[in-house]
This record gives sequence, structure tokens and C-alpha cells, in this order.
Amino acid sequence: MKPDIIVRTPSQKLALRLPVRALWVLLGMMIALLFIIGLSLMLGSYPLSASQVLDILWQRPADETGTTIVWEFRFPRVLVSIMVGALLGLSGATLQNITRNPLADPSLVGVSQGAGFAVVALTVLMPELGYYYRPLYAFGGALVVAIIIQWISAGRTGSSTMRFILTGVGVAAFISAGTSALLTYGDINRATAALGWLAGSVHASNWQDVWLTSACLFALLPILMWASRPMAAMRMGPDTATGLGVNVSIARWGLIMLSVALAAFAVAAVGPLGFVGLVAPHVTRRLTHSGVGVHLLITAAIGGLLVAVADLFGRTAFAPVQIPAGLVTAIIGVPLFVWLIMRQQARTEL
Amino acid sequence: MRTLLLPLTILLSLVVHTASATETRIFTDDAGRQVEVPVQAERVISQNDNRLTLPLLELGVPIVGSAGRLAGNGTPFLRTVPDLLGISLANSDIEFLGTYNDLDYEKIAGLKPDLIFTQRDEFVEPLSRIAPTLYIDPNNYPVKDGMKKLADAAGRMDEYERLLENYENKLTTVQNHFPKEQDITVSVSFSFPAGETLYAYTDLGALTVALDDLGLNLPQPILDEEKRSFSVSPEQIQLIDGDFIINFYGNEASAGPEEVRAGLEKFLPNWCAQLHACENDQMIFFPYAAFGYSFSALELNLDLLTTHIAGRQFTPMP
Amino acid sequence: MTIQKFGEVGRLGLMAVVISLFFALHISIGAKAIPLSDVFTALIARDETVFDHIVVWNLRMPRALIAMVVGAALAVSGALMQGLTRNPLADPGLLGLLAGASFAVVVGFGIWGSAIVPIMPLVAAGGALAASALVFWIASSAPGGARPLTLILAGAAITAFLGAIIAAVQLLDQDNFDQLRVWLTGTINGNRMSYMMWCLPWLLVGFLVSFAVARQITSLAMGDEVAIGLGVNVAQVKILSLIAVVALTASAVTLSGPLGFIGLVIPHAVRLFVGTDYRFVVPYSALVGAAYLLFVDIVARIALAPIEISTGLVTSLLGAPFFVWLVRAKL
Repeated sequence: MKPDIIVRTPSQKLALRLPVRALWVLLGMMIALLFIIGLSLMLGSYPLSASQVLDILWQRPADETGTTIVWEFRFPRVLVSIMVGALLGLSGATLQNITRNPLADPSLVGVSQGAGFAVVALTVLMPELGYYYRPLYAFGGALVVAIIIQWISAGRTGSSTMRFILTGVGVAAFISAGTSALLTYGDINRATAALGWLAGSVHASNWQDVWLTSACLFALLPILMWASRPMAAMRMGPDTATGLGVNVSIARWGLIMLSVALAAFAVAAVGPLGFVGLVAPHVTRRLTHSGVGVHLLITAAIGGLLVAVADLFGRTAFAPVQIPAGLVTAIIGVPLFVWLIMRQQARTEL
Repeated sequence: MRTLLLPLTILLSLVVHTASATETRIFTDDAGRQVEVPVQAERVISQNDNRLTLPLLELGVPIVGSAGRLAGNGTPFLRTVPDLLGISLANSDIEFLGTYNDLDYEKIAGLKPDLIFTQRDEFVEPLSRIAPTLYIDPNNYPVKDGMKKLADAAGRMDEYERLLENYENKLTTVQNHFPKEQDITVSVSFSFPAGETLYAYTDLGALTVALDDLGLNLPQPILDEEKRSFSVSPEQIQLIDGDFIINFYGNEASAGPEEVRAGLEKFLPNWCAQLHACENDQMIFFPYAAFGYSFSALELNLDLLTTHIAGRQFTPMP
Repeated sequence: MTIQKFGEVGRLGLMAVVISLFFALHISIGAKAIPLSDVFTALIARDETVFDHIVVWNLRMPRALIAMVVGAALAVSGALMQGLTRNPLADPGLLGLLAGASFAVVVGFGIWGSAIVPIMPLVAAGGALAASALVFWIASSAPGGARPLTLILAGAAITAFLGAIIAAVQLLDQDNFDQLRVWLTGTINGNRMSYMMWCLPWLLVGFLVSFAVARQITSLAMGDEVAIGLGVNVAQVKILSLIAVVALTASAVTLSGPLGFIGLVIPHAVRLFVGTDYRFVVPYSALVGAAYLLFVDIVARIALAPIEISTGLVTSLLGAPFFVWLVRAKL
């Protein structure tokens, strides 16, 4: 057994126990992310060699078209993919920890659908409002849905985990019907615009999206790390958590808000990408066991990797025909989800 | 109005002629954006085949790449362009850029365009990272006005004038074949062979303009609708009745006139007996190319309308 | 379980009255405003030359008939699934059957075009069967076996997966997809009557088998051991029920596209009144399902008139809250 590294702040308020293996995994993920960024900058309908990409990145005089493609399209696109994947991964991990259910995912329990409905409703009914307020609507929609689900499923005695998920499935079906109604009976042009967004696409991501998603990520990540202690306690069940001095109901609400915010900002940027929040925390768990904090960091990296790979595949596989990343993540994510259903351990109270 | 505009456009086309290729000017697009565009664009990208590529090609604009559609078997094609101009992806150097809702931006950048046209406002931001991009939605203009707007934007006003003159000459000849005092109503509809839905149009690009120029009218119930097109319930099929009803064939290879008729039979059994126009054999099927947005589509519609309606014995709707 | 003769007759009479009332209401409203007196005239003195009579006979009657048949088929298949899996949340939509059937139809339509119509129920049945097999395999491979949660999650997974593929097809082939767009949200349309003759044999088999196995389902619902103890051939009943469920679901999808939650809502409502004996649950599910879908279809046509909402959206908007309530009340 390798010794763990323990980082403490002087006041001992924050302490991170860092298992060495988990740190290696984290390092490996960072390298993988750099690798996928490099690959994304090279591959596409306008192929560039590694040295051409380096020339462009170091701003050496190079092919002007290559410069536009790398700086204006591929770079922001791969960065947005990574940020969004990280946001969704973190949202899923948080949700799984509070509900103590390995199958929780923002797209499964209606949070993504709530955000999607809000955005589609505004795109179709009030197009003059513009796309800039999307994060706001998305957050509003997701929050309302989360509150409804929480309110319905937490009303009765006993454990509410299974109720939470099934309630989410029901609410998701209800909202999806509403979204379909808007798409089917709304103005066809606006519906088409909304449909493209709903498929989950990072096609047109620009630097503004990069700043926006990274601002969300880097604002929420520290809060999440700070919350990792109550989250670790919650993971052991409400009674243990209470025993550890955590105010369960406050922690639960706070963490749900956090999870909703993470998913909503991701959805606002690129549309609902399914199953990332589900898959990323699991892959992390299979790679290494670690404290909640490091687990979250690795999950974020894996979520980012997943979306970046999905988008790279979607834009190159059938070029010039473009497959939105959301469809690719669903097609990759579902079999993994199925495998998880089949493999989930009895320790979860399903 | 025209007497005022004509000298102005001639003046403009003179300016265009004397300008060199690298010079630019300011053009205001449909969203009111002031865009710096080349005086005469030489490498143009189009985001919609039927509404932009077709009119631009007709105006002699060099299109280097266009979005299109995929046929059932996966081969890409440009809607109505080959039918009206004989230009296809296979017989020209036009590059296919993906479907019109999901463009391959990298491929567009690789073609080094100097001007991009799109009819979707939300595509302007990504496209303008590549080249000056104009948002013009031809659906917002009657064909002649839209052609003029596009010609102006691409610096092809002289070609526009020539095409307009041709059309107007043809129109004056053809107009004489139609009775002056008679009020003929013609409705425009569309349905698939599957027979699930029937659409009626208040505005269908070139056909609507040609009907208007020939003094043929849409039936009143359709004129009362506000939308450009709307789906008609089988219970209300009589809304589309008129002296003549136009429907279309050839949306896809397997959708011949016979198949479209069979689709209507699925839509409403014994439909033909419910419509005056159909019962009296005054239901006409136009080729899908009549949907096009160009002078060639206008002329095609003039010809088709003259062939089918002018100088013909028909039973007017009571 | 003995049921008093009078109570039985009373209940049947009540259902007959309710269905006739909904049927009458259903054929009296529509896109075209036809006075009630004309509807009545059309019914008693049919005149093929009057368009209003054609509307009543050729458009509204078939639509009402399809609504009844589809409602009955989905409700019965939901009842069988709930009894068979001992899962109060079983429903052809939730367990992925509707998604499988619609996916098969979309693919078939994409490849063969309209030529697929005569074998559409067969294609839909193939899709439904494959989807249900997959869902049950996934759920029963999970530790703890096919419990409500695993079944529903497996169903949700299959639905999401097929939905993603349909969405991709939709993005790629927009022109031709338009004609399937409304159908895919689940819609009842009188012109689907021409499909009825292709569905009729399937429906007959489905309903007959359902009624035949109803008694054994009651024992099965109490557990496999109990059923075996009562001399039920469990494997045989399960296979027969699966055939019935698939045949009924496939016909329903062929006639109206995917209509969710009917199979969930109706059997629960029925059990409140007739108890847990499937000899009553199955036939009453058929009757109540027929009445319910007639009602939903009326709502779909008058809620936003003159626009007709597709019926599938209304069944989901009404059924999903019921599902949520069920989760809250029963689990």
C-alpha cells in the first residue's frame, strides 16, 4: 500500500487525502486530455499535420485558412466540449452521491429536459429574446424540475432514492411531451433551430462559449470541492451523515442546487448531452478508489474526454455530414448504462 | 416606383463594372447588419440549395460550395438546381458542405470563400469567422425582389436586369393568352404519397408571383390565412377548392403524379368527388422544380400555367 | 371470487353507456363545424353525395373506431405485462416496446417506402419483440433480477438509444422525415383505417389469447411458485402472453404511432373497481382503455382548436403525472 499524501490548510478546516494511485490516474487523464486536444486540432475536413498545428499555435507565419480553422473553430470547439463534459460529469457525480444511486444522471431524472424545455419554449415562443439569456432560462427550467422532483419524491417516509429516480423518469416524460408539442406545432423555422440545438451540438462554439463555460466550471468547482466533505458524509447515508454533524436537509438541497446549476450551464451552452453525467463517475470509480474530492476531479476530466471524443467522431466520421455530439454520447452512453444496470452492486438500495 | 429604381440600378451596375475585384463596399443584410462585402464576389458559399444556390447560380455568381440534402441512399444533391439549371454536384465543381441545418464549417473555410450567404440568422456568427456573411432569407421577399437583393449583394445587377427583362418580355406575350375579364381562382397545395398531410400555400415563391403576374387569384378562404403555408384537415379539404388546384410531383423519384393522387385517396377516401376542380379534371400536377426560387422557375411556371389554363374550356366553380 | 350477477350487469351497462357517450361526442366534433342535427341525419340517413355525411362516416367514425381499438389493445397489453412481471409500473411505452415498434417502422419506411404498409404490423411486431427481449434480458441480468426499477431503467435506456438514432436520421433526411414527424408523436387519424385490415388478424389473436390466459395470469401474479402449485404451465402462459402483448402493441403502433402510458393508467384504474382477478381485469381494461382513448382524442381535438394536438402528447401529458403519483403511492 502506497502512502497517501495529505494536504491540510493551517486551520485544518480543509483536508484532502490524496491517494497516490488516484493522483497518477488524474495525471494520466490530463495527458489524455492534451492528447485529444491535439488530435482534435489536427483532424477534420481540412486535415493539418502536427507540425502545421504547432506553427499555427505558436503564431508562426502559416497557412491562413489553417489558422482560421484551428483558432476560430477547432480550438474553441474542443475546449467547450471538454468544459461541458466536465460540468455534466460533475453534475452526475454530485447527483449520484446525494441520491446514493449509481444510476442518477441529469438527463435521466428530468433536469436536462427541464433546461431543454425552457430553452425550446423561449426559442419557439419568444425568439426576440435572443440566445444570450439561455443559461438563465436553462437554469430556471432545470431548477423548477429539480424542486418538483425533490418535493414529490421526498414527501413520504423511508428511503426515497428509488422514488427519486422513477419520479424523475415520469417528470422527464411529461416535459418531453411538452417540448415535442412546441416543436411540432411551433413555427417550422424556429422549431428547426431549436431542434438542432436539442440534438446537443458544439458545432458553432466560439471563444465566448469557452469563457462562459469555463467561468461556470471554475466558479462551481471550488464550491464543489468545499462541499466534498458533506458529500462524502451523505454518501454513507443520512443517519451516518447526521452523526458526522452534517445538516442533512441543508446539505441535500445545497448539493442538488449545485448539481442542477452544473447541468443547466452545460445544457445552455450546447443542448442536452445525454448519459455523460451517468457514465463519467462510473468510469472513474472503476479506475480508482479515492476520496470524494479527487474522484470529482477525475470525473470532470473523464466527462470532458468523453464529449471531446464524441464530437471528434461526430464531425469527422461522415464529413461533410455532421452528427451532433449529443447523439454520439447517447449512442456510446446507452450501452454503458445498460452494462451498469447489469453490473450494479447489491449495496445500493434499489 | 420602377421608373425611379431603374436608372438607379443601372447607375449601380455601372459602378460595379468599373470596380476591381478587391474593392469592398457596405451591404445591409436582413437583420440590419452592415457587412463589408466584395464589390463583386468571386468565391461564394451558399447555405441553402433551393433558396440561395439556385438564384445565385442563375445570376452567374461563382458558387464554390453549397449545403444540400441527402437522398434516401445517402447521396447528396441540390434541391431543384439540376432541374432548372442543369447544374448538379456531379457535373460541376460545387462542393457539398453537409445538410442545410448542420454545416461543415471546416470544409467551408478550406474553400477560401470571399462571401457567404445564409438564410438562417443563427448561422451568421460562426460563418462570419470565415468570410463576410450575409443573412438574407429569400422567403421574406417575392421572387423578383429577392433576386434583386441577392444580385445587389453579390454584385451581379447587370445579370439581374437581363433576366428581369427576359421574364417581362415573356410575360407580356403570355398574358395575352389569358382572358382579361374572367376571374379565375387557382389554389396551390402539396401532399406526400404517404397521404398523411395536405398543405395549402398562400405564398409559394415563384408560382405565387407567376399567378399574380397572370392575374390568377387564390381562392378567398386561402387568402384569409396569415401563414405562408398551413396543413389542411381532411374534413376541411374543400378549403382548397377553386377553378383549378395545383399539386406537385417529383419531390422524390418515387413520388410521381399517380402516387401523389393515390396518397390523396389515403388522405380522404373518394377525395376527388369532394373537390369541384378535381371532379371536372381541373386538378393539375406541376413538377417539383416549380418550387424553385429563380427566374427560370418563374418562366417554368408561366409556361405551365399557360399550357394548362389559358384558352381552355373549363367549368368555373359555382 | 364470486361477483354478483346484478353488479356485473350494472358495470357492463355503465361501460356501454360511457363508451356510447364518448363515441357520440367524438363524432360530433372536428375541424369542420357540423351541426349536431346534421351528424344525426348522417347517422340515420346516410347520403354519399353530402360531404358532411362523408366526414362523419369516412373520417370521424374510423377515427373513433381506431381510438377504441388502440386504447383497448394498449390497455390489455399493459394489464398482461403488469400481471406477468408482477410490476405495477409495466407499460408497453415504459418498457421500450413502443420505441422498438416505431423504430422498426421508421427504418422499414426509410428502406422500402410505402411498399411496407401490408407488412407494417409484422415489422412493428419484430421491433417490439426485439426491444422487449432486450429490456427483459438487461433487467434480469441485473443483480436482483427484473424488478420495477431495473425494468424501467432498461426501458428508458432502449428508448433513449433508439430515439438518438431516429433523431440522427431525422437530421440527415429532413425532407422525407416531415411526413413521419407527426406520426412519431402518436396520432390517431381516420385515414389509417386502410391499415386496419392488415392489423385485424393480429388484433384478433392478441385479444383472444389475452382473454384465454387471463385466469392463469391471476395465479401468476401471486408468484411463479403459487402458479405452479395451482397447476399452471408457467412457461406456456408466459410465451402466450408475450405473443399477445407483442401483437397488440404492434397493431396499436401501426394504427396510431406510439401512445404512451395508456397501458399503465388503465389497468390500475380498472383494478380499483374489479379487484385483482385478471378474468375481469383484462376485459374491463379493454373497455375502459377504449373509452379513455376516445376521451383523450376528444381533448386533443378541442384543447387548442382549430389546431389538433397529436394524441400521443396528450396521453403522455395525462399519463406521466399518474405514473409519478403511482411511484409516490406504491413504492
